[in-house]
Amino acid sequence: MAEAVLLKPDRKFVEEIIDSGGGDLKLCVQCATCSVVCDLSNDSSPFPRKEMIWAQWGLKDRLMADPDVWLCHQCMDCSERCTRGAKPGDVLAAVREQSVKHYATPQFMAGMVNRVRQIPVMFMLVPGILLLLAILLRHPIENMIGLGGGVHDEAFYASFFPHWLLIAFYTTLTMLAFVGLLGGLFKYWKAMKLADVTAGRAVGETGIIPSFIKTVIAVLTHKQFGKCTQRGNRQSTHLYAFYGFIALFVVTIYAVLDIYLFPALGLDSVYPFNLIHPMKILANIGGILLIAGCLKAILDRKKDAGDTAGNTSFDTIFIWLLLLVGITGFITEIFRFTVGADAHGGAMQYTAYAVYFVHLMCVFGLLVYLPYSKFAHIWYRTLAMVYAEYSGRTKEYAGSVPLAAVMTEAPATATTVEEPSEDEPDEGSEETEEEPESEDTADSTQ
Amino acid sequence: MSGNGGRGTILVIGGGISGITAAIEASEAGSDVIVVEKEAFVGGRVARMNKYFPKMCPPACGLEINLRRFRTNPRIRCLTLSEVEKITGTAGNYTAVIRRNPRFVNEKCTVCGECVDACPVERPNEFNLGVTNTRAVYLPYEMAWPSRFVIDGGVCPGTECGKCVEACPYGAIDLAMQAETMEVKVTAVIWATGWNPPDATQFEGYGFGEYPNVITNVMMERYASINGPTGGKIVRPSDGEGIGSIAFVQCAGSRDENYYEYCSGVCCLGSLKQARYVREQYPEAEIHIFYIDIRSPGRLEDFFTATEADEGLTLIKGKVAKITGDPAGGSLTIEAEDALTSQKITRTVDMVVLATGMIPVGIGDTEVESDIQIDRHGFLVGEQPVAGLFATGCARRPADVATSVRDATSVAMKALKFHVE
Repeated sequence: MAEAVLLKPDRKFVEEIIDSGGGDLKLCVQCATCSVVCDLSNDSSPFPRKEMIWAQWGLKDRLMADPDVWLCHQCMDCSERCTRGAKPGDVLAAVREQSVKHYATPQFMAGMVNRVRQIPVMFMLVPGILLLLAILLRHPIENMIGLGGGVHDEAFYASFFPHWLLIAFYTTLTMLAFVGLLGGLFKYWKAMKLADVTAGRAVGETGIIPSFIKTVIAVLTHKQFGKCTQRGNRQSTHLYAFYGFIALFVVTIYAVLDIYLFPALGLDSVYPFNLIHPMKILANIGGILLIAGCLKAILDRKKDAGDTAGNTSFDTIFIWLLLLVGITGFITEIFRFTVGADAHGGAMQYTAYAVYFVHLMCVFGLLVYLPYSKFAHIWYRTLAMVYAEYSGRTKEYAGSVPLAAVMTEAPATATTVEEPSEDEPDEGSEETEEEPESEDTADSTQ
Repeated sequence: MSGNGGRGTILVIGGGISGITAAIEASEAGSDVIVVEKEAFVGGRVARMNKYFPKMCPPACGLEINLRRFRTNPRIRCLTLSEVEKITGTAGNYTAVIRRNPRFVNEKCTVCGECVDACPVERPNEFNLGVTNTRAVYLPYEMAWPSRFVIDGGVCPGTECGKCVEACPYGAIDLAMQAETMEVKVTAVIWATGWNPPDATQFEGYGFGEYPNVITNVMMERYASINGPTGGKIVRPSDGEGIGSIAFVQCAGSRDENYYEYCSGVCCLGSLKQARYVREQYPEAEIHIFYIDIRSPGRLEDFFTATEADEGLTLIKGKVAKITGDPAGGSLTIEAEDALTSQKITRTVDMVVLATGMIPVGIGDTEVESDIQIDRHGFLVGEQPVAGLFATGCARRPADVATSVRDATSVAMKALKFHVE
């Protein structure tokens, strides 16, 4: 353990951590209480004590290659027991935000979609113009490719924004987003693996597939959240939003199948669903869960106002956006059953279209910016959890090369060894751990 | 006050090592001194120690020499079992109201002990931090001065019982004794009120009060002392068995904004010292010290280095956050993260010593007319803004014995200088 390491502190990174909710970072004295009181932290690679010193010292490379920052579910057990008020829970949240930004492809997008002052441009102007363009061009395109009139144009919202356009528009953009996301995920995986291999730790004791299955079960049951004591309410909050979103996602996929696949199979397309259609019921339950989860998250954050990472734009924009998707979705639905049932025309119809337009804008913000916003946590955390299983972090093992030991025991005259630098960007990813779900238009409340 | 050429009198509140020292220094320089001690004896926390670091000599060494100077000095008037209720007046002209609680035992007492055998009531012995009991009539400890028994008025049923009165061959017991108040005119006041150990039951995760084998460092001093509850033998409190392993938990409740934010500065050396007590009695015992950082300033580093050389001693950088065990006794499991290897570790040991810090007593219940400056941790500012009011020793900041003695000497000089002018 006595080999010296040349550290490359990144002061700008430290400032970014401090700005994104880790403001009390420097109060940490490394007493390590946090790592012990954290029930999610494992024995062989406990966190967040080591992350605190890495963040203090600006060791960005280490943090960006660290799976543990994503194993944290921000229960705040550590912050509550922190002896210095350094708020490790908030610091890790800030590190995760930096991680999303670091792996964002293209990089500038992360800077754009997480700032309050960019909301008018990124969440209104950009989706607004793109959606307007799509609407203006819908008839010329229909004529050009011979869709002429469309199958479902008589349906209320479809006359305004036809299904084929909806699906084409969102699938294309979401696919683009996923290309960026996959690049980031691939780089993150490589970085994690390189860090462990460099440190001489064995990885791959558990295969990727079993690791993935274990992770999916953990995610579906929210097992990790269940271990939180201080902010135990987070488990139900997140469960609501999570299953609400999943339900809406399933309904959306089903709706696409109903419109395009079922007729081809000789079945009747019943879209738009009536109120007692099982899928409609699922959609309504999902919508309620989503809104309940978001509202609860907002209220939880009000109650725990001392948690600085709960007040960052990264966090706030995402929750409000998700809430708006739910709310505008429901209003859109209500209009469909009231105004939509009437004959066409009248001011109410245009109000309905306007709300639907806002809904589409919110969905745009959610899906298209997915790799750059807090929404990316789904993918990064899942990947880190898979990696934690894959690398045997959840088991006992020895042989780590801890930084603190190196720093304390290394003689000043020892030869310095360059730290492994960040991976070269490598876009040619073949091996991905998760299936990209790209069909998502999340417009199921229509 | 008279007999000092009109130089006035200094009031010293607290008869621990700091108060004793300040009183001796001021009186030997020609001042009259009144010492007010709330316990039945002088010596305070130091009297409860087994040994001092770094010299590893018993308190008899320093405390006894000073006590001799103290009790033979005619300029010092020591009031035990007394408290200062009120201080009024201005610089150079203070009036203190002192409440003298009854001892119920007069100067005829010869410390024969007949009364103890007769007494039917028991009470926790605060000299041993409640580890043992005494009768309601008791001698605080073997070397106590004033060398006289005392009756705990809080538990003694009084004249209804009176068994001790009958038993005493010297007529030394007077159960009708009442509390008295007296007023004294003084020119300066020195608070040497010292410190108390914290209530360790409040510290989350340590199980103090729940697991009998989790003790505090001040309790350890008593266990190691020849006049302690076990006659100086360090044993497991639950069953009196010897120990094969022991862990010291540094910064228990200290440097922690949830409890006491400051470092008491002596607990690291205290635990190293106590590790030596253990080693003396158990050559094979495993000793673990869990720390955030070992603070052994200046010349004390030598003590650290010498203790660290013990091969059975492991120093683990990581604060203990969890202790689990069996409330009925038995071994304890300690959890910490070793920050040097980045591994979470557990150790199972026979006994755990919590290295708790010093909680300042401050001015206590005394009503003071002038503004008193107290820092956010409760320590008094050494030289108060109102002339003639001082604080010294651990009332002013956490300190070891040697530092307290130096500090008390210095503050005595300041108090003298003030009232000579």
